[in-house]
Amino acid sequence: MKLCIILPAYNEAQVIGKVLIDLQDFIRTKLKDLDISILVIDDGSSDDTLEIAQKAKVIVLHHIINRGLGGALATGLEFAKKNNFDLALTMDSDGQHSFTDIPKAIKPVLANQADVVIGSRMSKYRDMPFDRVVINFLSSLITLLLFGIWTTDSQSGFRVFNKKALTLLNLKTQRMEVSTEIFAEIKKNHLQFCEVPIKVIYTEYSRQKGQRNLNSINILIKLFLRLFR
Amino acid sequence: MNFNYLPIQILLFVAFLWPISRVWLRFKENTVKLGDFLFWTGFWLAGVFVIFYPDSLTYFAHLVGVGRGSDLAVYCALLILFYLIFRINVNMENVRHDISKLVREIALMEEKNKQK
Repeated sequence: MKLCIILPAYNEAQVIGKVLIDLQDFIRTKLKDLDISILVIDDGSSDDTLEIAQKAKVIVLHHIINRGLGGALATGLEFAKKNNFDLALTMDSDGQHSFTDIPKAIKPVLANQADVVIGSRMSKYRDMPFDRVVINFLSSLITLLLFGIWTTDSQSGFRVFNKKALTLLNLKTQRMEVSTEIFAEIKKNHLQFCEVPIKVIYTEYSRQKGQRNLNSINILIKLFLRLFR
Repeated sequence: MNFNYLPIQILLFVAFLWPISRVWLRFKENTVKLGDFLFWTGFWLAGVFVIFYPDSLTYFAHLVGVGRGSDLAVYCALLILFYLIFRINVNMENVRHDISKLVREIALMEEKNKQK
């Protein structure tokens, strides 16, 4: 079973080195039975993200200009599809996701119970800052209204896709709105999806790097435009 | 024919001649198809007609419940502008998508070359 762990990265030089070392250690000790490749998509970073990732001996794809989260994710999924991976797992490169959730997230896909698994942060919403709880709820509501699918965490970056999902997904959006677009694609392609609760490590760094609350309006406009493309 | 035109009518007439000349030039360059050429020329010529015969719109204005022809012209112009802005945004998103595809292909090709 070939698994590709995709980490889209934009100006993450401060943390990506440690994240990759910790991830490699985790795979060596806890996931040694699986054939796992780590893939970093450097999305046109202006800092040393690319150089640090290259030193970590993982696969690195380099966007010559910044294309946003959606562009980077689509590149990672395309790589996984072209290189015949059975599974692709996406997670943030700022260290906010816990590697211990990886076995739990791939389990439903390995058991053929789902084509897509979403790591939901809402089961542990007490750990989440209040403004994020509200924004996440509104995002989930918008996902339901625009695309007819309900999720507890439409903005989660922790996801698993099987081969069928990798073949069928066709992402068109470029930036943060991709998280909602994935649900539109799940619905359109009749993919089975389930959620697993995940732990999120909120640090000052991840809060600064994360989505600005006002950006939600921009995301909404982009999603609306996507309906007409 | 009344030759006592208001300055605004002369200004609008000159302003409308400009897009007509652009459409004609694009048509001569073969970058605009005959159908588009006829549509846009007709559109701007209708505008020219309305400039010199503003009362011609009053009939249509009354049909849709608007008091004055000039008000109807402003409402229509606003609607068209909103629609065009929307179309431009959709097209911009498509262009962004195409750029991303190009960047993706370059990234995947570089990785393939490294593996060789």
